[in-house]
Amino acid sequence: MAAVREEVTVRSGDDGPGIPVRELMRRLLALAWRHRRVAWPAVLATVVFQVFTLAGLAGQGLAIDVIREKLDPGAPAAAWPLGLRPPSEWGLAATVGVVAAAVLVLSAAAGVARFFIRVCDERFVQACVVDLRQRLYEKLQRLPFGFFDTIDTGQVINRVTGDSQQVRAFIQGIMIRAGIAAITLAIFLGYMISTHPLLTLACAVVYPLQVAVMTRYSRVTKPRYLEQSKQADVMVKALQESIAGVRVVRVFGRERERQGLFVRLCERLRDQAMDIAGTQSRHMPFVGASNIVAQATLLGLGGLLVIKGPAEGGIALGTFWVFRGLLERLASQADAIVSIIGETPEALAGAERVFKLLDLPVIADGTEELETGAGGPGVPGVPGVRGVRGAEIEFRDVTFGYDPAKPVLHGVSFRVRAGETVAIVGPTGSGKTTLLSLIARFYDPQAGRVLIDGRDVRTIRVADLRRAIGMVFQEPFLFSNTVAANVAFGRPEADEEEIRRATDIAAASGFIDELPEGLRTIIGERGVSLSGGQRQRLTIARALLVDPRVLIFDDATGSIDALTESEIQAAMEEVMRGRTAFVVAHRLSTLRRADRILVLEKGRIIDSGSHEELMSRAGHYRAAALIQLALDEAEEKPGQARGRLGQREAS
Amino acid sequence: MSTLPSNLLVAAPPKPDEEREPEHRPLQWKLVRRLWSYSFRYKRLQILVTLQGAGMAALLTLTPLIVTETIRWTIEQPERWRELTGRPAEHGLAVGAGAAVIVAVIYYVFFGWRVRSVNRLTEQVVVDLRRDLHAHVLSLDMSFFDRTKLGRILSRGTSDISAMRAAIAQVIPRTLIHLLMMVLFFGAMVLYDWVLALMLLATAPVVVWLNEKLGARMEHAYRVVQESYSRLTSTIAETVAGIRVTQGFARERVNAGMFRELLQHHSDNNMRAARIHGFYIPMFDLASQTVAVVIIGAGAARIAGGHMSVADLIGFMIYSAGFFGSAVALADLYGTTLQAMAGAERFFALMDTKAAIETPLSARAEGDEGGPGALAARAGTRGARVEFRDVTFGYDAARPVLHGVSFAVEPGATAALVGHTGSGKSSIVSLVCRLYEFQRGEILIDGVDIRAVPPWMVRRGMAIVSQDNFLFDGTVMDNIRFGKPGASDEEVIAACEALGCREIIEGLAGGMGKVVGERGASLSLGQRQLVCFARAMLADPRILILDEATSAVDTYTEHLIQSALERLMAGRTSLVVAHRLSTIRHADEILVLDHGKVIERGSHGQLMIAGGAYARLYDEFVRLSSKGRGERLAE
Repeated sequence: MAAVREEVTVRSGDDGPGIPVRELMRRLLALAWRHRRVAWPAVLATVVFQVFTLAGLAGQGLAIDVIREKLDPGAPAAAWPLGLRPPSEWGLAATVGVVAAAVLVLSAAAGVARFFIRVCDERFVQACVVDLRQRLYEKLQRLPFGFFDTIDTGQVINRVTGDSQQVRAFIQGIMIRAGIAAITLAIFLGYMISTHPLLTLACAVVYPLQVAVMTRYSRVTKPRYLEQSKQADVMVKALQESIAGVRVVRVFGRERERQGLFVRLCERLRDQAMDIAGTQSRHMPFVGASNIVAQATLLGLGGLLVIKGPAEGGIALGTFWVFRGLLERLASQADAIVSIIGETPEALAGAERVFKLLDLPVIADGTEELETGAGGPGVPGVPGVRGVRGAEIEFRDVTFGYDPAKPVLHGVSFRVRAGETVAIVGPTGSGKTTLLSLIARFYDPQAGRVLIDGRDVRTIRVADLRRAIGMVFQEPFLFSNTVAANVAFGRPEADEEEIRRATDIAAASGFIDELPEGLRTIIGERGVSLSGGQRQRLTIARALLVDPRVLIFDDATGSIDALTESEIQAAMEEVMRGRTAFVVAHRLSTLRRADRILVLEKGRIIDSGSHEELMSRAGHYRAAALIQLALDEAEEKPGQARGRLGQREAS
Repeated sequence: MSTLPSNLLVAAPPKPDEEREPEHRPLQWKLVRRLWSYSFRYKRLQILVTLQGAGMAALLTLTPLIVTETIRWTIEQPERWRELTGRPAEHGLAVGAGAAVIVAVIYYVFFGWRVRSVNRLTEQVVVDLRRDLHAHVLSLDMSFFDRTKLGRILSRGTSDISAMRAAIAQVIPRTLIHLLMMVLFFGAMVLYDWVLALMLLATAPVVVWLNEKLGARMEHAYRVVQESYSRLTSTIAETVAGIRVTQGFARERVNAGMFRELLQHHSDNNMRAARIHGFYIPMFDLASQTVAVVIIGAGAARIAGGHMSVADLIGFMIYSAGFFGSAVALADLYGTTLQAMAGAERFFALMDTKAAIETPLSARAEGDEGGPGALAARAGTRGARVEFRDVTFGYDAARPVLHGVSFAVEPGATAALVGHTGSGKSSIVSLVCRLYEFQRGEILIDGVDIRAVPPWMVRRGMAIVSQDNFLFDGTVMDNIRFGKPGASDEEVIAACEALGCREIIEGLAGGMGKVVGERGASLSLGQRQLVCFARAMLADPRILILDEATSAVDTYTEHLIQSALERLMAGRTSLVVAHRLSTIRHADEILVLDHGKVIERGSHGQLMIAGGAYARLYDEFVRLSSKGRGERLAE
């Protein structure tokens, strides 16, 4: 049996040009620089910590020298720092005791400094990350919908959380650690060189080598890690689809094929990991091995110098001890640099995605104000009051395509008077939703103009424009929150009375009162689940509460069954009164009530007029309406059916 | 009048049954053993990795020994080296340094080998874990998917397995190395001076106590961080899902303010964790420094008393530092272990979820593809007989949604299930597919109780067109082929042809090779339905389960769908959750459901004459869908 020849891909949405590394670095540094005031304490704490660490180590070396001096007559005299030599009549216990106490104090001080390093680091990192995430979130909210069509939801979430975490890793794991490494190297190497340059050089030569080897490693493995993470995405997606489509998989009995596909993807991931591990096994051990070589060098060369003795240009055994300790600590700094190099590509890749997102173009905001509320008398924003004002909408020769090369709308022109109800009909893909998206400026047309009250929508502040428009989408999307919060989404400051009035008009109050906690009931994923019709009525109430001058029903009854539609029909009619309304609809009942119908086909308006006008002339509209009627005809009138059957039984 | 809370972005508080992070608790050996059992499947590799770990520990013990002994023989007692070898002390230094270089070379080769073995073991175990997870999830029954969110299952396969990978790749091998190193180092310390060694051992309880005390606090702090992080994530998820609404209602500024608060809260939690962590690291440092100081002091006294030499002291100091280093490393590993075990706990809890109806993948292997037992695929008539006898069922056994439902659908007939939302229509078709276990009664297919045969046998010869028209990301061709994996391209095209929708599907941009996107997003609703029909057509089922989509499509597409549907149902036994008038009208039998009971049954004509619930429902339907026409006729 042939395997399911199914391949899985992930839409990650970034097809844009890459950002050069230099530019990325510049922007990351700029981000850090903005928060530099928080960073200085961390630097200071690091310097203090490493100086104290060094001093503590030196104290240990001194103790060794003191012991040798007191017990071995041949040993050189211990070199006390800063002329602090205690009286020579002090015994071994007293002298070593003083040194030991000093070491303890220094360690305690180093410990305090270390605490501050951690806290200051975190404060700096948090400042940067909060700043970045906030900007990302604000950007995300303003992106045109087209972006979300090209990217899986999981990927978007990843941008704001995962990728910004990568930026955090860059700042914390790379910038800060590099800073600490630089400070540490400066202090330790400074001390070592001032003590014995030749020995320092001989021992420390391995560290640049380590860095070179690991740089090569990360360069070699970078493309393979990228490949691995792509494969991991594919694997996760396959798992996700097996779960989301479990009904289909099960009833068709395709468990084994799905399992086979999934295991193949897992094994591919494993093989990729093993491939990387092979390279890893040739590079990683170099670090540890060369550290041992550094110790060997110290042992050979340093040993010679100790035998020579400090008096003749050599060093004391205590100094040997300090060098040994410093080499260990330098090794851990080299480790840090190595892992910095290893992590940089991944962190930069994350940062690149973050900055790409931040760089995406958003719709340019206009400057002019627009009257938003339909303004019935009484409490501002109270919907459904007679005499409300609609807005005049005009399309002038509008051409638009999500991809400018493939227009969806071709030179569309029409004008809708304030307060008119316009129905838009046309086959799937004819551009109905697209047309409506242009009114609220979710996109800008490539040619032509969209006007509201005679003014180009591009000149108007986007927030004003959208507040003047109430939208009911095809999918009745509600947030996981209370009913009240959902209805008041467009006007969070609305009080309960206003919310009530909106739900009354939208015919939603009935079922809301039956909910366990009424308006305060939490709905959605985490709460009570509502039927399609109930959800749609809430979205109508939501649109109402902003008291819009223009109402847009984008196939609002499309996702609910005919029975539920009847529940909503009346609510829709009530709220459209006095406002300019656009309705995408298929059912004749809705079309008949419209003042005007625009017939859209392949992005062009091919006909317009009232239902009666359109029916009176041959055209697409009449043809479509006739099919609809034919479909209805098949249902027959209940009375007739009953009658005929009755006759048959009688005969 | 009070203003209601409209904190839309602050996700609602979790329900009690919502999954919580496991509380701080000691290591559970049962889980550890279970995880281990995965890696012990690869016995030889496991033994190899263990031996390599022991070798690493030995190598790492060797280096300080070389340094100490070289100092002893060349610096402290050069005359003894001369006595022994007749060469100067400098020669001894060269020997020591040379020995260390040899250790370095061995280390390089050995470590590389070990990296490869550990990776091989780890990656293989990860494949096994994922494979078992996927197979297990596929074997669970629908009630599991009803109550478990997709994201939660996914994170079992991603972050939880990653945590377990860390346990296998790091914890197990490294714990071994560090434990062994501590033993070896302690042995070396005893060798250099047993009194000091015992003193050092006495400090161990203090360190353990500190670790316990601070470790628990840190873990708590990080859990709080994790919680606020997942709130951030879920907020973003909702923002993305509701982006149209947000933009349409110009809510960006309000949302941004709320998000800022969440960010600040998360940031504060991070700071708190950092403070605890910042307190924790130096405490360990300080403890080991204190020990070093004690060693210096006591060591001086021991040397003065002639019990040890300066070289002994140096060796002791190196080993004691290493000893503490290993202890710290073990503590870190313990943290990783706890994380891994939290992951393992969630993972194995899922693996332990029992299916009410088990569909093990292995069982299907034997009698696959319409073997003799394949219930619905039995030869003879093209359709199968489906019968319900007094079936009572509830997703929760205490609250039945079907009460003693009985009916029969003859071979080749179409039964339409009609009723309001929640009347039990979908439950009936789910039971036929054996997706749920029912509590009472019998369901028979061709006279065989479906509980008497394995579920795969029940489902062979069935096809489903679900309400959501689920498609897998991949090409249209692949999606249709899902109905019959061995089918050739020609068979797939023939199935479309038979439905009368070949032109539509081939007319897509990209034709049969068009990639449908996540859940078929790049196809329109109507196109998605047609692909689902073709998929079912290709499977050539005897029983067709159809959960009609409620959404209206444009008139032309509707027409196409209806004719395709007729062809698909022809000659098959069909159970339809009906939303289309035409489907209902053409059904051989209509079952009218109300609150889980069949209240009326019969053909359209019979039911209309009866003038009961169906007639009322039908009037409602017709009034709605042809109101426009009615008015026109009245003119």
